[in-house]
Amino acid sequence: MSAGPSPSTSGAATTDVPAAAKVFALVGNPNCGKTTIFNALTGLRQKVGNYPGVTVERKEGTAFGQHGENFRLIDLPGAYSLSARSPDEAVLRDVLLGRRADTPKPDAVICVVDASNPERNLYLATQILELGIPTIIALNMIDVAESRDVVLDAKVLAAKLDAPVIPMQANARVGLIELKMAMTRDDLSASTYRTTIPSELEAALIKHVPALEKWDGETRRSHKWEALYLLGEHDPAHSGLSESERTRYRDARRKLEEGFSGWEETLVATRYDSIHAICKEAITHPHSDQPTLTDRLDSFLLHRFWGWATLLTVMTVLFSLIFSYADMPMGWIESGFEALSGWVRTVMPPGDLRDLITDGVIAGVGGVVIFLPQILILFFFIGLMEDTGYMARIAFIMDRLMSKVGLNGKSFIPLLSSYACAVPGIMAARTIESPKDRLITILVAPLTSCSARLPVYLLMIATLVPSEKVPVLTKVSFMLGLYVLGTLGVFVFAWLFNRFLLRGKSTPMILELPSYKAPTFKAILLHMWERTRIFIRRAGTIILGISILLWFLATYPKHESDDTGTQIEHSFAGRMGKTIEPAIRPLGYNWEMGVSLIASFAAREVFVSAMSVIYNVEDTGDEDLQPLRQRLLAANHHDGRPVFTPLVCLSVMVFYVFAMQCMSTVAVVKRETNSWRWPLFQFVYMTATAYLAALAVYQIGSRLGY
Amino acid sequence: MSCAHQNPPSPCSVSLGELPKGRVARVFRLEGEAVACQRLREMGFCEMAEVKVLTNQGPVVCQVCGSKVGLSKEIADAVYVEPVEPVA
Repeated sequence: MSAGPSPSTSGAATTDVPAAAKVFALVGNPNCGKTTIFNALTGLRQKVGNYPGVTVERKEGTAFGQHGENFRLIDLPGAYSLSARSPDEAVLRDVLLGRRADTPKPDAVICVVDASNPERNLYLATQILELGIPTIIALNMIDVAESRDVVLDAKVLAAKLDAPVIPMQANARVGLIELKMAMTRDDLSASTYRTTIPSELEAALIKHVPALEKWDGETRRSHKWEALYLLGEHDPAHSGLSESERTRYRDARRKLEEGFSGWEETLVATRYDSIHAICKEAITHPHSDQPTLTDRLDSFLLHRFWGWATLLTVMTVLFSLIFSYADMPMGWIESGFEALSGWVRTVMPPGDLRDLITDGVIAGVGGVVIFLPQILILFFFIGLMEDTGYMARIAFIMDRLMSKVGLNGKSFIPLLSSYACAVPGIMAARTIESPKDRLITILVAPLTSCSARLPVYLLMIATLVPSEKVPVLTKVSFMLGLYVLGTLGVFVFAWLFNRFLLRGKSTPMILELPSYKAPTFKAILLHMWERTRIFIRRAGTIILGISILLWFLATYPKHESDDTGTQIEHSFAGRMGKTIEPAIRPLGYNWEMGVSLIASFAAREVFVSAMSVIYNVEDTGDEDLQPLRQRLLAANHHDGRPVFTPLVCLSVMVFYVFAMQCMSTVAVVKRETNSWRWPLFQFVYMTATAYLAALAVYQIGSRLGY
Repeated sequence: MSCAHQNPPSPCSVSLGELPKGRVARVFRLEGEAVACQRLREMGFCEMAEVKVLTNQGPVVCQVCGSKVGLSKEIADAVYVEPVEPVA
């Protein structure tokens, strides 16, 4: 197997490591402080990518030993056991067993154990020790354990587990030097620790597992633990086995069940028994029943009333930050890009190339970068809530509500994020273990009214209700109505998909609620930076390409006229608008709006700028919609009827509530689901809903005489 | 697939979902889907493990094996326990 950097990871050249560097894998339970140790060991020398074929994040970095040696450090997904229940856990198991062609089998493992909760953490740790890979136990959060008067004897633990045990407090860099010294040790050897399996069960296992082993002899899968962990595999989707292999394992499983009923639970119980025996000697628990700070906080934050009140307050603060405080930096970004366009206009001679750069490239990239302040605020809050431990409480509180429509508590954050932008929202859906729940969350997330819809809503509301005549409250209630409509769409479609499209049971919630802790801002900033970079790269490249394409469609073929409106009418885009006119006439739209609809397929907010171009209005930015609004109100059909009647405005808004109209979302859904099937399905169902809803608004409204 | 343990039903066993806040009990039997049962065991809810109910408002929060775990009502009802403390 190659030890070179995997093609799937991307990153700066500074993170390159010589191929000979020793490979360490970092493993541990969720919430054990694994990421803190990874950050402390690697600093900023990290690269984040994806494991090919699965949507599991792949993190790798370079660490230096105590004497400056290079190590390659792979941060594996957090898990409770090597028996995989999710794609994340399957990656952990497969990397440690050397089953993944894209990742070298680690030379050694650093297994992080939460000292404040040793029994549960040792479950995974002992499974790892038995794999025969040299392992260092990082006994993290020793300070939390001490604060609870839990006394751990690292020496006894090390002797019992036959592995070096390093007490650590990673967030204060305590024990880091000792960990690096242990990593540097030449004599790091595999532990001899083995869980004693009852002889009756062992006999049954030997009777059936060797059959698998012998059969696997031809391939690289020969390890007996591999056979055992694959035997416990319930979901064939992430076993990586062929159909015939799967049948083989199913048969062996059946025989084992016949030969030793309850073998799986006996294995778990046996492992816990030996862990309890070790803990009895190495750990002294206090017998106090004093509620901890976490207990006291939880009695408030998980309270039937106060829990909801707190959640509502946190969400209100988050939204007001996203929608009001992001305004100022968004204005700066906008004027920055305008200044850049202006500068290009002064230094370049007029012509198609200059237009391509200003109207295609700069406008396209600017259209994405403008959302950066909102996305940064969002990621900061998500990072803060994850780091403090509040996120698990949100999932817990929301579970009851979400499970009514077939989602689960963990769907809440992806959906919430989607109010700012569906792209990070869909990326956040990775934390959902159940593949069905994850897919439904991804499918409905773009129905939430993201901030790219705001410019369209604002323009249409301004056209619908001229500000001088009606109170502000009317506008606000229109806006609120659109958000409510989108949210209703989320729940209705989630329910429909759960009921008719993706049958199967939802995974019931079993959720660890980690102890609260003070946030480490360095980790949050690092997290923000990673997310943001991925967002810009994914959304930016696509928007850039589409903007260039749209510019081309609106510019060619050339027309003799100097008038932009006439030019557009004769361009490819104009012709496409006219082609779809018969289809959109029942919604009350004309071909000009058809062009804008096509143009805004790339991104919804393009609708506004496309309308400005077609109605030949100087682009004055989103802040001032007055000139465009007046032009729209003055626009007439050939027979003199006004185009933008209140009903048409309403129909446009309803269309944009439901329509997909976002290339970046299509691209990210394709990436996250690994196929074109789901983004295409999503595009079709959302566009069809948008069309039918807009049709209903216009037709019913017309019949009623509006 | 059920993963009902071999323990015979006990007259004093109740589901975790029925236990009031503050009660301590011993896990006696797990029912329901095999995947969920196995995950429960690995999280510390193996037979004979001691569980303390911290809140029970439909979904249950309990202390098991040194950590706090939240369970949906559905799954809490599938965990059969025997209370180890007399009713206060």
